[in-house]
Amino acid sequence: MSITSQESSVYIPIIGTEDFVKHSPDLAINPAVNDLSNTVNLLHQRLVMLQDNSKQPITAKSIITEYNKMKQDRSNNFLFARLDNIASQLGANICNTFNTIQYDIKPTVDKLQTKIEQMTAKSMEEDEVVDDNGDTTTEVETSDFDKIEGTMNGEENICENFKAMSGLKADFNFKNIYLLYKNRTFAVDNINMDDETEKENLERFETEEGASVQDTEMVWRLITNNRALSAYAYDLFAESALNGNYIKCMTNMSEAVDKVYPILLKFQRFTLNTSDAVNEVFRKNLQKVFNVITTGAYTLMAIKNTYNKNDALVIAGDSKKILLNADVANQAHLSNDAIIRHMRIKYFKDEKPIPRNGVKAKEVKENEEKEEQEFEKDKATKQIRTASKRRNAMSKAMSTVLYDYLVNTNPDKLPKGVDGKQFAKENAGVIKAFANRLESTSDRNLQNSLYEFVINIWHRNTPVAAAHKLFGQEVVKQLSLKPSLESIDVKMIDTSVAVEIATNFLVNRLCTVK
Amino acid sequence: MTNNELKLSKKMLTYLVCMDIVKSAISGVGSTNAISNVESANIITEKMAEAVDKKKGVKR
Repeated sequence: MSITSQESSVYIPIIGTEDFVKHSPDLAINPAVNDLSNTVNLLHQRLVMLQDNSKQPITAKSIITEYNKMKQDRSNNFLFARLDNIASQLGANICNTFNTIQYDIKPTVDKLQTKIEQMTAKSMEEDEVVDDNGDTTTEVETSDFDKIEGTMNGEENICENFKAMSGLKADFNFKNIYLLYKNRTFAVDNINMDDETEKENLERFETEEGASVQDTEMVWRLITNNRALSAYAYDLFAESALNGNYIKCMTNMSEAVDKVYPILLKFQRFTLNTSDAVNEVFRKNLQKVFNVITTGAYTLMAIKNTYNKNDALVIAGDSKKILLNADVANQAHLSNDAIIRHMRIKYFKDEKPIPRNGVKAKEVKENEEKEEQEFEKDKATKQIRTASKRRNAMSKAMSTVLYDYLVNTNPDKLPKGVDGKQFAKENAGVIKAFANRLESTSDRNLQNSLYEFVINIWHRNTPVAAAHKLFGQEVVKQLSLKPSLESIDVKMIDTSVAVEIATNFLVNRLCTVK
Repeated sequence: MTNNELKLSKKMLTYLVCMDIVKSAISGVGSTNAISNVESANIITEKMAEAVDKKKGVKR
């Protein structure tokens, strides 16, 4: 924008009163110093002439009017061209400064910041400190009972199938379940089929039924191999029924309904390309595998029944993840926070195992208030400790990342005869100083510190350093007026900084204070 | 024109010239173009006053 194209009357609302003129900044340009002063003097002479001729009273408004007229007068072009020249040089300098900050320093700082934050987060994770309270984050999941029952057509259907298959009452007796396994109820017969026929049948099955090779092979092994099915049944329910390893049954049953059960259903409608006698054995064996799955589902219901009878809310887990019994959780009306708090205080802190029959909802409720108070009391101390750990981890990460950054400096930027390693070594003290004072005051946060570091290394005592300082001051000023900055505030900050650089230049270089 | 009027017109002219130089210099820098003329004139006025005060050693 050229000066002559500017309409100076825009300043009238601000300076167009006599009162303003009386209190206006006492600007005086030293005539000996520069061309600008001479230009202003020449313009002033012309202005005085114009005003003398007009015989109008001298006011701020009349001066602005005459000044605008002078801009339109071609005979003054050479004077305004000098002003344009100064403005464009000043503008180019400011532009370069802004571009250096935006396109060179900012991307560098962003990269360094990301690296330092990642390294800090990793270090905190290794220390198992991941939230502000100094604790690990504990996920809460609910049991899969409903999903498994749903896949197997509901509780009633599972019990009926179990009764039909075993001839027993569905009284959720773990001993009877184990005896079914022990008595080889699920033993399969040998299927008399040569390898080639088996291969051909399985390939046809996979193609026709859209089943994966891996899952098909696994289920086929259960149908045809007595040992495999026996081991599967042991893992699926017998061990749980015998030793109370309920969670194992739950995990394995969840996998069984996802993987094994759908393949069994597909095999049920499939006929092997072989003799009727072999097909008959195959059908019988298939039913045995169904029986194993049914018994697994029935065992799981017995486990659920045990949990519900015992008011078991938390049935498994560790400091990272806990598993809730959905039925009890739905009735207990306890918050996840309360449950996690109880588990941390009563179990995870001292690595106490979760009881086989789960942690009762009553136990959590009874301790809820006391534990909340205890937790709040410890919270402040823990937060301070965590903040301190985080600061130390970040400071350490900062030292490492900045040293590495200087070692890998583009050789073109380095002083002559100095390599990256030497340069980093020479600046080790600077790195240490920045890392040590990190977060020692509110404005020494990571981002600010990195800006200061990069500027200190590459732009010390330059307009870039001054401009960055001005940006910081403007941001603080704006944030003292409102809680957060919006896009318009950022634009105002840009303008303020650019203006400040320009005015400081004009006042410091061109003006003498009287 | 009296001496006082001369002083006044010189001050005003100097002020207007500086305003114009600053306005022209900052045009196109960063996002300054997104600010209205009146707003940027306000900022220029404030910053010029600050710079002069600083030069004079006046604490604001």
